[in-house]
Amino acid sequence: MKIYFLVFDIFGMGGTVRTVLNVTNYLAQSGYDIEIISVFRYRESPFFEIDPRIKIQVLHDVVNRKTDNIGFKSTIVKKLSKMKSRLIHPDDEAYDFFSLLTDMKMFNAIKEITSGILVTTRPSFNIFASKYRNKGVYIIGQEHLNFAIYPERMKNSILKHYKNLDYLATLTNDDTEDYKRLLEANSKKVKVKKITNSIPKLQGVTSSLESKTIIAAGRLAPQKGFDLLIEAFKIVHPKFPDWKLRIYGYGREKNNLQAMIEDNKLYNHAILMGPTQHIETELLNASIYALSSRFEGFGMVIVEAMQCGVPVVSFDCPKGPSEIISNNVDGILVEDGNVEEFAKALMELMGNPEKRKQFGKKAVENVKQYEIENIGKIWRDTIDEISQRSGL
Amino acid sequence: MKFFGKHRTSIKPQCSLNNIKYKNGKVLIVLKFVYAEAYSAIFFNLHKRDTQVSLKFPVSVEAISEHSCFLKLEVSMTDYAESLLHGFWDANLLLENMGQESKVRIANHLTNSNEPQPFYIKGHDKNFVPYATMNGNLSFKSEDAAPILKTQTIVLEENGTLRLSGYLLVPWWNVQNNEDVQKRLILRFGEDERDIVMTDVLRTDMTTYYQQEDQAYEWTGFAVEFNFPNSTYGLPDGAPADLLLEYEYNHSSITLPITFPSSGVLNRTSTFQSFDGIQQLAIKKRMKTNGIVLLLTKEELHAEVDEIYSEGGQISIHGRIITINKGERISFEDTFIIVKNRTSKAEYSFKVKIDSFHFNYTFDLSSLVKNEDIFSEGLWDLFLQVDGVMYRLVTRLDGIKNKQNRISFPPYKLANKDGEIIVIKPYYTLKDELSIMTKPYIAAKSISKAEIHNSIFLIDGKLHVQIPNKDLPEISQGHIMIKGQFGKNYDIPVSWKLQKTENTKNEFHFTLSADLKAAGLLEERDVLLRDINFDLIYCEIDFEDGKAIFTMNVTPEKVVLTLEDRLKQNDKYKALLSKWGLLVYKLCFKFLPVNRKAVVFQSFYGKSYSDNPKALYEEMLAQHRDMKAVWVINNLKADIPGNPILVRPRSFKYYYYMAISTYFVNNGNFPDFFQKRKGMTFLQTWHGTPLKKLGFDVDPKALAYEENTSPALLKRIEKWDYLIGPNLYTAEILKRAYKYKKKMLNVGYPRNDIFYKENIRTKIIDIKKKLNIPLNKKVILYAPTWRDYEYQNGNQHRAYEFKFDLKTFKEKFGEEYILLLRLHYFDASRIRLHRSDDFIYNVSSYDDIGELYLISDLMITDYSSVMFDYANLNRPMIFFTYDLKRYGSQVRGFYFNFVGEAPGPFVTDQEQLFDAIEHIDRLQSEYQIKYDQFKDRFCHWEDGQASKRTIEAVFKNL
Repeated sequence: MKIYFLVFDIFGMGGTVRTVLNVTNYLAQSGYDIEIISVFRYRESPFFEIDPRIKIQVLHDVVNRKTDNIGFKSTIVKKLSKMKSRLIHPDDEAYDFFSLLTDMKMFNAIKEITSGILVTTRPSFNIFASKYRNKGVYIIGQEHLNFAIYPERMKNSILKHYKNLDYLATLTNDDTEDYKRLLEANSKKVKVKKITNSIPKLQGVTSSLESKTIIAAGRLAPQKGFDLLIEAFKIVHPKFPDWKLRIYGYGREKNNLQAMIEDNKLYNHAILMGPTQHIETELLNASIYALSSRFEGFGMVIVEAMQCGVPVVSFDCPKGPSEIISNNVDGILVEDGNVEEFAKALMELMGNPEKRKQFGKKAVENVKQYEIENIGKIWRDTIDEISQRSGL
Repeated sequence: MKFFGKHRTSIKPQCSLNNIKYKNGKVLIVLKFVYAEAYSAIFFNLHKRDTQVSLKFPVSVEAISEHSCFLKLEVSMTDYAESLLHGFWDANLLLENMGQESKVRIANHLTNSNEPQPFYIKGHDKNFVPYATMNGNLSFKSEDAAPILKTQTIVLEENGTLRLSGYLLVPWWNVQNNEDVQKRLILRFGEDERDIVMTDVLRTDMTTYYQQEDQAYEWTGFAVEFNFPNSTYGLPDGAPADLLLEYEYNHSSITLPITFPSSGVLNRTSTFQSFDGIQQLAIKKRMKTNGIVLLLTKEELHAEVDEIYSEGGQISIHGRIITINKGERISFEDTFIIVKNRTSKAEYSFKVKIDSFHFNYTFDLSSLVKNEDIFSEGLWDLFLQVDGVMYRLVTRLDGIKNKQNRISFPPYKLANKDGEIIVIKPYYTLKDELSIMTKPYIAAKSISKAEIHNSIFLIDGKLHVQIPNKDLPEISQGHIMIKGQFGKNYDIPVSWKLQKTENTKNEFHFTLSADLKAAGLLEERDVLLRDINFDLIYCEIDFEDGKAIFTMNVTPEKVVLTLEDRLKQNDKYKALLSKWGLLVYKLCFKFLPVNRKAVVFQSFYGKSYSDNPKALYEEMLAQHRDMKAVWVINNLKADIPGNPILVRPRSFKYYYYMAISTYFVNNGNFPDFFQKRKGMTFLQTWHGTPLKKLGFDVDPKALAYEENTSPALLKRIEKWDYLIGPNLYTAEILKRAYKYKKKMLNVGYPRNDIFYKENIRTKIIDIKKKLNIPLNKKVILYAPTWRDYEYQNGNQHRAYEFKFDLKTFKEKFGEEYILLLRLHYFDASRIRLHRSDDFIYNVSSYDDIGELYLISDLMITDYSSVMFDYANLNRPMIFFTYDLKRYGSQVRGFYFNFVGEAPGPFVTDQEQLFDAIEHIDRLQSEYQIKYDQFKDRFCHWEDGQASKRTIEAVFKNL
């Protein structure tokens, strides 16, 4: 049975691409036939490694497209690419990237799929696939966020369309319960199943936790709360003047964060490091991971930090941190949004190397459950379930 | 329903390797097969390349979808080892359908990235190896079995700890007891070696991975941690050391170098504090073996800056000294912070107190800048001078590299002692060294138009304004100065309107306006526009806290003169007009008769009245040829003798004359719309003796090859009827490189006739007067080539950096000489010169470089073809090749041996340059023989008659 993944841009960076590739690479290695349909391509070569057995179909190639054509066809294509998308939900964060042109390409692509499983990786794709898939194609929709976070219009669409999915894959226990309550009562079809994100198995190298470095990583966007982190670091800094804060990532908030760093005279100590392809390497030189997000779908990076033996200080924001971190055992959970408490928690670990090491050790143990061998098993079970259902 | 239909016709069957492994004597293979039709039988086939022997294996099928499936099979090495372990075997799929047999080569995109475990064939001591051919297909070969050393992790921490782990496997060792394997890690440097303590690691996973019957490989693992902060492991300072692993079992031993892992990234250097001062560990690679080499270096004294603040007009530095001997021998009595200008080398020192190895220093910018030249525009490097030795201030111990792109400091804006506003901030170099950077507050970014409307003079464009720029007033006063010919200077009071754009933090839109009537300049409006690009325009904006000073470069094509120009200011009309212009061309081309007398002249795309076309034109004027001359030129106010018709490129008039003229004289190509009618003649004069390879002479592997041999370029060359060869060397190159077949005029360059004229002295005086150069001084022309590497990386708004100090130059030679600067216009608009300088003359926009050669007594240049023309004058040249190392690869690609044949000395720094100028007479006689040979080769046709010969050959009918 062939398995398709519909993805925004598999060549890009970021958590979604990383987790999708963890799964697809694992499944390809385990002998499944995988094809990734990447709606966009904004980079020449992929940011993360893709298994050569995986077929990649790019619908709208922004890198290699020809722009100098002035034929009739390309005039139409140009016009279409400027018209608003009608198949993507308008509340999709990236709505402006889509157009009538990408609608047509996506529509064609989904109509080409006549059997097998289609995994869709964002709410607007889930809705799109539930509406237009061919008969005989099974849809596993992935849901990265809690229902409560969405605006009303998106909530309505989710309620209306998710019940036509075959599976809804959720990341946390809370989400699983919420979506079960919302969907399974009204539909006999959709099964809500928790399939969390996975991490690749590493060689087991962990950080020595001796460097006076706090690390954070993520898109420089309001959601990630790096402004709160800088606030907290400002409180911490006078007491631990030789510690540095490194924030990895790239995004629209860069100038604002930089201004905040300058205004608070923290430019020697809080540093926007830019994006990195190898967060593991950077984690090995850090002693504390700080997760200051306002909300998360899961908090993949928490797991990655813990896998490198770096204890995490995190806001207890929805959803994920409280499910991954055992408070005061392998990390510290802080009341959501409480900057002073966050600073205190950081200082507790900064001032106590023994505690860091003890937490770090526990953290490594804790996150073994997220290794791809374990999560991959859930995927394989789900695929097998579908195969049985379809009688293949 | 489908939008763009794709049809599933004639899909070729495709097969690719999906998985391969070795287990208990069998090679297990999974293939993915995509097909369009059904087959009655499918086999896996191995085909031996030399003997054509074929082996056939059955496959089992597992469907994926309607048109694809997995094929599984196994190859038993117990059965086939004898044959398969010799030679090369190609893998195919044999397909049978309705009695017809076909063969599909199996693709292999897998094993290059997902390498399977080595297939060790017991009893034969060989490995059976699947690999991907050059075409990406699956083949097999065999190799002698060898021990395998794999480094799986290598981590260099920022604190100097290095951790390595992996395994060494000897496939034929049948180890019963893991303890029987003796392991040693050896650090080898020179003749010396050290044993390093290792951690033994049991690798149960290796047994599973290698899948050999009755073989266990737990004994293979190793791990080691080097704690360099606490020990040097006997490594001498600066001696590279190899890392070797030695395993011994049952009287046989294997030693292999530890190599880099095949994937993963690694921090290659770490600077850290050790028990013995600051050390740096670098991990390098032995190219041949891929082996790891460790290089440990010690710093005698390290000046680390922990914090640097730029607040409230002060830059304060907090740092510490780290030394090996804890300062026992070093005296900190006379310790200074040294601030040194990178270009002029000007130095300022400030005494600093060292308190238990720590130091703090605060620069009070306003008071420093008010009184001295310190922190004037440019880069100032910071050092700590201890006991007479200078150490660069750095920030490295935090392990954060590439600080330049990661850390930015708040800039401080203030007025210097001349009242000019500058911006000062700390700055990290690419090596994380600390400097201080001073920039002018404002630089011109781009000009969109200049015009005189009624009596109001307007210039519109964009400025780059340094931060802080939040509270700039919308309207400010100031003035501009436009330099004209014959020493004229127009000082015009203007008002500036500034408006921040949304594009960047620094970009402002500006409009400057001046009332010419009020300034009493209305009469001069035409001269003003003619001379607008004679030199850069000096600009001043007066703010409350001082004045911002910068220059702008307004090129003639930005000057709005006609209704057509005005309409073109609007993008919509511009697009429309260019469409109509082409239409005019086509219509005239088709319906209007050719004018037998019309000659179109163009030089450098209409940028100037210059070069060979100018020389030919003036000779034709002198001969009173009966012609209707048309000059394609941006500057419609240009002074051109003989009253020709002036047309701007792409104007309606231009298109008209392009369509109906008979003769075309150009030193380059016309745009691709240009076509030739019957009877039209194109004289291609070309514009210089080439240095860099052209056309088909470019290395086909080079990136530039495609551009240099493009069909579009060849089409342009087909339009040439006559081509001028300045010398035999160039004539042959052009013919060959451009595959030029038509008439080659071997006559010399018309533009160089001027050097052989009789009235040369009066000409020189005329030109000097035009440029306002004192007649009693000698002239040095500085004409470097344009380097794109200096312009990139955000340098576009940075001041042009001279590789010698202009002030020192003036001090040394100002009495005897004046200096002419001839730069590429990208660079020219970046030079920052003081307003009333009687030593340096910017002649970057001067129309004709030939006239500049004529008036200069000495030329400083580098890798530029100006040398070929200048040689006609028999005057000395100095080659200031300060970046010869960097430019080396390009120089080696030149047509001639530049370093060997250049007719003058090479100098690489200011000192050598000044020395050469001082002793130019001696150098000239030293280089006389070379100079003569150079002239023989490149100027042998030049005698002042090139224009005459060309005109005779081409313009017989005028």
